[in-house]
Amino acid sequence: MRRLLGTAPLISLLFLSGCASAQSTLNAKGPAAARIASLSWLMTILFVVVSIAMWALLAVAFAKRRGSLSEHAPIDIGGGQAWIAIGGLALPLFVLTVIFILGLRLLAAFPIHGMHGGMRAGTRPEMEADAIKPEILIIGHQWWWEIQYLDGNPDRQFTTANEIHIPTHRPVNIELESGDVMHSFWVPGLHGKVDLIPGHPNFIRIEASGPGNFKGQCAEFCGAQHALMRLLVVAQGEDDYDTWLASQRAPGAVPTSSEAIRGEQIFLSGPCSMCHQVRGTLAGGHVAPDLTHFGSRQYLAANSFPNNDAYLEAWVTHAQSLKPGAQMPDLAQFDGEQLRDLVAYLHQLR
Amino acid sequence: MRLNTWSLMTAATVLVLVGCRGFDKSAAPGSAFPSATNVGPIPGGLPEANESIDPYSKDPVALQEGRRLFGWYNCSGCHGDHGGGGMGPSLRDDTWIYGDRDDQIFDTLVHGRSNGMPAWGSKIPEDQMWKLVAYIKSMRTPLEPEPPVVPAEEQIPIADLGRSASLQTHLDPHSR
Repeated sequence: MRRLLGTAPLISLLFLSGCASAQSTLNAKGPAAARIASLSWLMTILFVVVSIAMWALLAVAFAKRRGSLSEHAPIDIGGGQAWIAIGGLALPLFVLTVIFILGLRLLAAFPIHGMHGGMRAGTRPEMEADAIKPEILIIGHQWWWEIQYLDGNPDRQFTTANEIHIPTHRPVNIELESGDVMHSFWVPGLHGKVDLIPGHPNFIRIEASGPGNFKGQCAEFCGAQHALMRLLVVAQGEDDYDTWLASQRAPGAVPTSSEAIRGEQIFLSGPCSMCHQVRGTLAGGHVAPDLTHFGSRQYLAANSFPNNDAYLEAWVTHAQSLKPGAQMPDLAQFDGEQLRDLVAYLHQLR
Repeated sequence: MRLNTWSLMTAATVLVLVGCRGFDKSAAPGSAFPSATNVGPIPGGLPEANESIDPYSKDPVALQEGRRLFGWYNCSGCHGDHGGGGMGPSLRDDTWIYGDRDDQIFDTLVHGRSNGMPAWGSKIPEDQMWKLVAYIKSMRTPLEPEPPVVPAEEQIPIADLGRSASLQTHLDPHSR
């Protein structure tokens, strides 16, 4: 028994490890996620307590002696109705009503649909569609995220893909649209899910209470590679965020090393420029992720693989093996030298 | 069945004959010319005598891909939506300036033509090229694919497009 108890801390570590991961609802790092997490914990603890009580009652019923078959008394049904009335009706009704009300209040606290101002339009003028000035526009595609940073001045607008940066301690309004089918924006550490519906813009307001990387995922089945359509939200302090914005607004870095110069020629004269864009060059394709600052991103292929030389070479030559069905074709026509040059060029686009 | 020498030899013969059929190269993707059937003085033989060399010619999934690629690579920019014609000739009519065989269409795409058709050989992977050829050949036949999903920009009624400028610019691909 002692040895069994001794293993309990280790086993509990297994369960707790889920709490601290970068993509966990219970690892809340924003006010919205904190409210969701507290309701989740309340429900979990409440339901576990109720379950333990039920299992205990079941165990008592099993263990209770009733006498032998020959002296078996008829079942007394007179005294059990209180159990059913209280335990089966009143108590569940109370518990579920409490949780329902808490859930409704949670929904009302984070209205997502700006067009009608949320659930209480008259009292929330700041949530009317005209009042919401989205900072970021996310257009979901199969199977990547197009992210446009908006600004009143078109000079300061830019497009990127799959990796969102936000400042900490400040709510950020994001408009969500879809270019093909329904997707869903879900960064568990920051907020609940909001769908990207074709033809119907939705709005979400996220806020991070501290710096960090928050992983998310598409939460509405959208096709063959729905599972590899991941998000990364990087929350930075205001200064870091402003530096990042300034660097993203700049056009693509001009290559200086001989490898990168050759790589740029391969990029522009080959199939890459048919679909991708690098601002500042002649590559102006709009159907695929913007690569102007691809070297500064942590992951590639919608945050599915680390953005290092090996994975980039694999992605360029055999994307269909990594992400079958993705719009990126297999480009096996480059030889080793050309591939290295191309990768050198792409990774110097910081 | 008793495993004697006679049945073993029969099985081996059958296997060898079946295996020989796998050496038929005329359907390999990317082969430059169709296997020419000699039917007289017409070079290359009569059109019906040439089998389709496009490996995707009747594959419905590949035809859907071809339809997507037609819009993806902006072929419709010159040839019009669904190839109806515009700056470039219509691909849906019966006039084929440079031939309507699979290899001729492939050649048009890869090398371009002198009256304004660019050469896409270095820009579009060969696999996708054959899917485009298959899609073009499938136009006006029962095999022509339907769109799998109504694109987002076709879901908004035309009358409503003026109501919200942001909707139009966000969802109209030609406005960027």
